[in-house]
Amino acid sequence: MIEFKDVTKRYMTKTALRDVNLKLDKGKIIGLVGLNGAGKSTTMKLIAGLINPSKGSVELDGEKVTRRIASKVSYLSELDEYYSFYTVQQTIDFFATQFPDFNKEKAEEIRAYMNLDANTKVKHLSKGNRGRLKIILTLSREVPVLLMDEPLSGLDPLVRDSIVKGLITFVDTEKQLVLLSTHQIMEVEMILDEVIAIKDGELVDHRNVEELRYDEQKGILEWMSSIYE
Amino acid sequence: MKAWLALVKKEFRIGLPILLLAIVLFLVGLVIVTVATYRFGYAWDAVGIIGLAWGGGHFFFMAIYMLYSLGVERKRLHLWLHNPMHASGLLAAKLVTGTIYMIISLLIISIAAYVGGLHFVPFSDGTWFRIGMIAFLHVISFSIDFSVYVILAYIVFLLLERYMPAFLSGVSVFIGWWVFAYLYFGLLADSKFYYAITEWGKIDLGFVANSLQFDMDVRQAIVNFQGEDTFIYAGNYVIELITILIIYFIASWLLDKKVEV
Repeated sequence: MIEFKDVTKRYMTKTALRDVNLKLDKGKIIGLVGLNGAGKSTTMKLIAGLINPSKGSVELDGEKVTRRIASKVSYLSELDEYYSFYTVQQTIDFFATQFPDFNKEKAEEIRAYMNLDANTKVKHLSKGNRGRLKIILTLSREVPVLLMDEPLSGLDPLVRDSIVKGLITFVDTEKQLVLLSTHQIMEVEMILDEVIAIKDGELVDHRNVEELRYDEQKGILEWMSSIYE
Repeated sequence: MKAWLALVKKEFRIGLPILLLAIVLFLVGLVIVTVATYRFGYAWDAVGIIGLAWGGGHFFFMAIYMLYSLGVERKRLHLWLHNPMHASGLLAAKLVTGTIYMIISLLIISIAAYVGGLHFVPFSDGTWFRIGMIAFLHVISFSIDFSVYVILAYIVFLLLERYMPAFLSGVSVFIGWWVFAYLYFGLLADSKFYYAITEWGKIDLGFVANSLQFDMDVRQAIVNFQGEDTFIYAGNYVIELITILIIYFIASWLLDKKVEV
């Protein structure tokens, strides 16, 4: 479904990703883990078509990824910037007009589940509630690929818990691929099917979480420690 | 189309501060000039002059509007560019809303220019209306035309920003702008080739005012239109239209393919 072929991404003199080869299939929730600056966000943006590889290619269903792949990819940025003059409801309505696959009923269901007031202006939302809004906007799209860059970052444990539960509840695991990057590994471990470790721009390992657990008797955190030590 | 219209609606909201600023600045200028000239007895003349001057200043309305609107998006490129719409559609939504706001602002100003202008140059045979319409259309078309160059410059700025600090990117674009202006307006537009491709389709506009002559002191104010029989070449407009379409295409292509988040 998603394929990286010898992908390198450079920013001036800094290499963010180096010769990455990767294949991701639909119907899975995949964790992208690594230290800060390892290349997680770069990987996400490459799949979303928001940046271009310096070398190699990224394909989705055999089609070269460009910015307009947004019709098949729902991308949650690590950034919190939304149109501050909109209310929560207006933001949802605006997204619904921009993406034909946006399911407004699902958005309303997630909004109610997340307990987010529809009439609050985005500029008045707390960080936690902006995080919730991002989740609503991302999960309400019925697209093959959901990319979530640090969806749990900076949120309190209760919000993180509701987001993780929301992921289980509102993702169509038969049809959708979810790729999420996070530092809160313990909290998402139970929902991950696969995990990818990136270190200094290189893909160091790509494992099935269940196999890791049964074959090597390791959790993701232990596995990560063994990689990074 | 539905998606694009929703985008236009959003752009109206983003660009509203520029319309309000244009109107507020005009009203403040109007009040100051009226109060300052009232005791000398030529407040209406001053209203007309400020209307004409501010209307002329709208040559830059679209450029300022686009700089502001693109500046707002710069902070949320991950939102603006994460959209399946072609970049030309994203930019067109901004151009359309900016143009509508400019027309609203110009209409308000036109009332002052017309009422005040009638006071110091009482044309009665429709000359004012004709002059006004020619000026109105030229301000609008020049403003849009200029803003397309500004869009390209801003997108180049976004591109360079990936490789250097924002300040250096801004300086590079500023230098590039003047180099381009010199090559295009200084060399090309003054060449025989340019005259050959633009000087066709002569249209006679008749008498058109092209300047104002002021003679003011504390006792009186005399304002006269200076003008002459004027003609334009359709070729100039056609070539400029083709040029800005090419510039717009390049800007859209760069935004689609090269600008990164």
